[in-house]
Amino acid sequence: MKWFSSYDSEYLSIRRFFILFFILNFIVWFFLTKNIKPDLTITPIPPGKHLLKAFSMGDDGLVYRYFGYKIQMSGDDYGTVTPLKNYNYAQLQKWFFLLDEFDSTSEYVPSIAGLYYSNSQNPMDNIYIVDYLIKFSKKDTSKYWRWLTTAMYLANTKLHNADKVNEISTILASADKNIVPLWARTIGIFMTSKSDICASLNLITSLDEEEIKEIATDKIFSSKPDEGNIFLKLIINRIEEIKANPKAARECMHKKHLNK
Amino acid sequence: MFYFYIPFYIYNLTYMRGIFLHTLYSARRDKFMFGLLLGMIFASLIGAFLGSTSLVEPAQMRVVYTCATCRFIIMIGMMVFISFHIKRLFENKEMDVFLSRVPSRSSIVLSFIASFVLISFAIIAQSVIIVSIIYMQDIVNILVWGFSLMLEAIIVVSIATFLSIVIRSSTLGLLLSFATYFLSRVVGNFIAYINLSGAKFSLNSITEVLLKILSIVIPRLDLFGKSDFIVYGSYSGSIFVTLISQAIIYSLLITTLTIMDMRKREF
Repeated sequence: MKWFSSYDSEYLSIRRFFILFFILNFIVWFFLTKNIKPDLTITPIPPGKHLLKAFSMGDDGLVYRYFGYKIQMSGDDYGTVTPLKNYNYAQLQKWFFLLDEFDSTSEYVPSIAGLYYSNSQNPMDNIYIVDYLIKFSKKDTSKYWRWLTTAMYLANTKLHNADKVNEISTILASADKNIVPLWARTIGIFMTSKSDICASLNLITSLDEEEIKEIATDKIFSSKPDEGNIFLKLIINRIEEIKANPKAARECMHKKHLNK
Repeated sequence: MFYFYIPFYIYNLTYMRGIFLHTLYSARRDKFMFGLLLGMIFASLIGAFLGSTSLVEPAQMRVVYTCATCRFIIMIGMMVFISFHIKRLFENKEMDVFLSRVPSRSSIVLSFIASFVLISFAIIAQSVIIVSIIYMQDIVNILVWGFSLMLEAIIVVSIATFLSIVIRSSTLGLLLSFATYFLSRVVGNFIAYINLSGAKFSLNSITEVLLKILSIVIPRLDLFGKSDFIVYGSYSGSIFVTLISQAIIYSLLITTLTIMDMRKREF
């Protein structure tokens, strides 16, 4: 079979084919591919643990660092910088928990969460960060107590959530006395509100006589001579408040006894 | 009778040395080791750059990226080199020259594997030096990581040699080498999923049986060369018993299969 009879007809046929395919290409672009764009979601939905485990091919450390780095840099690519308030913090929290499954020792992800993502312009986003940091630190309070103090700071200054502060101060107060420093175990006294008798009582009863003596004599707590020991004064003030409300203190003790 | 064959054994060893050196010269001619060294240095520089931009733990980030990329470069590089080297031997009739000599076919296979293993060890030594420069903290952990990589290389070299000799098409042999490598890195996960699923009799249960059979044959390369060995020193004697026994058993098994194929093949 002869396709083209002469040079001119061959040229014309090719031209017709070219125009036809150009039109077809235009139709495909207009109706099908025009609106398909790369997914530039700031915080993508985290994959399942098993999928990521298969992706790691045995090297969990690599997956932890690789995706941790992606989370650190997400939103700041393609020449754009995204304000933290635009991030989906619920998704971020899922990523944090997922990555913790791949490296239970490293503090890379809690550092990203507590030191970077906690600076959102929307302070209420920090509820996800605080919850994550509490759960992360509960794995080993004596090792990760630092993240509890960060969580307490965020709960107090960003969320103004007294319940969360009390929850964290209770965890810190019961931490290992030989490892966790005294300031970290008693930092809650600065954060708890005056009216919260229970929180003050819990903290003060968690201290033993030697620790009170340490607070009274330690130079860490008495920074300037003219101000005296602020920490000790605060504790004494709280004891005075408890003394002034014996009924509330009794109820609190009763509640504590029941919880035990 | 044994004494009668002594000259033959000596000649065989001399001949094996010839094939051994031939492979080493071939690697030198291709600038294979130098090429992989450049690749590993380049990958390490990228890893070091990315790691240094990490918010915290930049040293750990650098070493994890570096050791993971070096591991891939070494294993993929070895598989490609072995496949193309053996293909070239067949195409250039060099294999016919080897076979035309008196010594046995098994000695040819053993010489190949010994030379490939030596080349891989040399490249791993280079990678250990690179990782030590990147992460000057735990040299013992880096050496242990390098040792586990050597054990992995023994298995990978045996598999790649086997597939390159058995399968006539070098492309197919190389693809199968890749497939076996990736499968052996994820086969542990498949078994974990089977234990998790608890599926009743269905198509899935047939796949389960197939995967279980596969897991008997396929080595567990996901246990080798982990970056955690360097960062946390998370290795123990029992892990190394598993790794060494896997390396010995699989390399012996696959080498025997390769020798059997060489003996029965008609050229």
